[in-house]
Amino acid sequence: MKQQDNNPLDELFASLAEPKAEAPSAAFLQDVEARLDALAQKRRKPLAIWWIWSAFGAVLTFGSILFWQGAQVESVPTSAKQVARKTQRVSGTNNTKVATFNLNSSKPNSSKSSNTVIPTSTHSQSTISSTKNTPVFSLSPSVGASIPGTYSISASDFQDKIETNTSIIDTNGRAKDNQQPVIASISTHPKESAKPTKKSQSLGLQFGVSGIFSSFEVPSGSSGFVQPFTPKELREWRELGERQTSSWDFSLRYQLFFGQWGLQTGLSYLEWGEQYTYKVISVEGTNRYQYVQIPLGLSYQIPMRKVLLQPAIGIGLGYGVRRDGAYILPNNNGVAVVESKKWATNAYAQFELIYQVNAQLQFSLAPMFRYSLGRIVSDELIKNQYQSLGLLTGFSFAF
Amino acid sequence: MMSQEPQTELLQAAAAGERRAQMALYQLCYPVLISSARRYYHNTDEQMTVVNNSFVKVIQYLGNYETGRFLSWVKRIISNEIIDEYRRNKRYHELYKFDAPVEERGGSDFQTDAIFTHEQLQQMLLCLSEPARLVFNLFAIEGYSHKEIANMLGVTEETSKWHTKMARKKLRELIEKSHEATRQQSVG
Repeated sequence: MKQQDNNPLDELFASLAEPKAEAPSAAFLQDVEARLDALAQKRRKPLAIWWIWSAFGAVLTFGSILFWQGAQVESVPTSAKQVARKTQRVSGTNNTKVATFNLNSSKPNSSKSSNTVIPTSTHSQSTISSTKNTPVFSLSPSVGASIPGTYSISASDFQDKIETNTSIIDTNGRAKDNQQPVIASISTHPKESAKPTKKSQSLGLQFGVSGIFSSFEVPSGSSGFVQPFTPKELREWRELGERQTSSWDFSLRYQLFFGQWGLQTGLSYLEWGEQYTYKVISVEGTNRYQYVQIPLGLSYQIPMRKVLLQPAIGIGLGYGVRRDGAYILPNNNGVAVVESKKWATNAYAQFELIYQVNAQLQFSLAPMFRYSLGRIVSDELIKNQYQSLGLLTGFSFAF
Repeated sequence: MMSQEPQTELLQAAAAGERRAQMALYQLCYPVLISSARRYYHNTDEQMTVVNNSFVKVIQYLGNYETGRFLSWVKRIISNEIIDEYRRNKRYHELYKFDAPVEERGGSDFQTDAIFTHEQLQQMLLCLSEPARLVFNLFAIEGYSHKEIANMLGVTEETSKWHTKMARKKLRELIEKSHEATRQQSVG
């Protein structure tokens, strides 16, 4: 409180500080009752928006993993052991048993997939055909012949070597005519390859939500403060009164790839800030410092079938579009109004999981960590830095 | 005179959510709340909003109130609520707008023998610009120092002093005008 300077004009108006006895009108009473009702019914929201989005992200991540695993099961097994699982026992209409096919691929990590189809057969003479430009192999035994021994199929086009061991036991000991042929076919789907092209570009949108965590410093000196002031008290009030908040993130992103390496830039919207409830002065609210920034990042793509993993790091230079915030004053008399920096930089790292729908369209899910470089708020009293951890989803078009 | 301080039992019952106790407390706090609100707002709806929002905060934070003068605590709550409202509406940016230095004419030698009612003084206050009214209220009526006001509003001390001087200048004019009107009435 001030030292009185005895200005007569001030003293004249200071008499207004003394309230007159007065009863509230019916409108005031009705309004306050409604507000007290609302206060009584007010429950703390058990699921803050941050938790809803986290759950959404977790479901998306889990779903993507399941989908990815499903895609792996459906694709061609690349080891003999996996192929053995696909062995089919085929029993013919004339007591014919067709036993084992073993397919060995010399390129276990090939992304090409194969399907083996073995209808019933008792044919004893077989022909193996491979059409050069068609990704289908067929094993077609001739009519009435048994199929002895081993067949080897080489397909240089696909760089696959398939060994086929076929034995057909005719339980009647004789060949049958007019039976269905045995067909072993391998089909490849070039579009399933997720390998990135040598040079490409993409433009996309990302959006999501982040949890913001602040860290602050309390000035050790007492300059600029109204006494009595102890830095320890201010730290305690701020620690008790402030907690993390969530923010929306939007990003228009352009990427330029050279092989698996990529450069990222674009335009992003992000927020820093915190929620405050300073009970000692009965003030609550949320500080939101909103920035529009230009990021610049470097990424690397790791292709894994239909999915790409893309870690990226970068920095961003942001311009503050909303910069005002409020913090408790050390002397407990109210709040100090501060402004965040007009220009602020941050570093980010993200680990993006990209699902390729087709050659052009990709969907992505990316946990992202951001860290403000330097202080976002650097006032005499208030010195804040921020970190955020969020989950972004989005899509992009390659061209 | 300041209204009567409430009994501890009443505060405890109100904090526990008993509606009758809360309404009794409202009756007790109302004069303090409405007299503050009238110094800042013309409009009855705005006054009602700030008075009742402040009272809800009183109830909400009653558990945190320990000892001391209860009605002073209530006063501080409504002051913070008004400042917060002012800040939320971004009105405080107007605080930065000031131009020519103000000559304070006869700062401490101001004298008047006229007697003004509460209502007349409140009306004069409401003639001030919003930033000048806010700063003058905080400085002259609520007793904050320029340093405290500067911290609360996020402006410099000089800005706070400038708005106080502007407010005094305007109020003096209004008082002189009021004198003149009274004189003319008595002559007529």
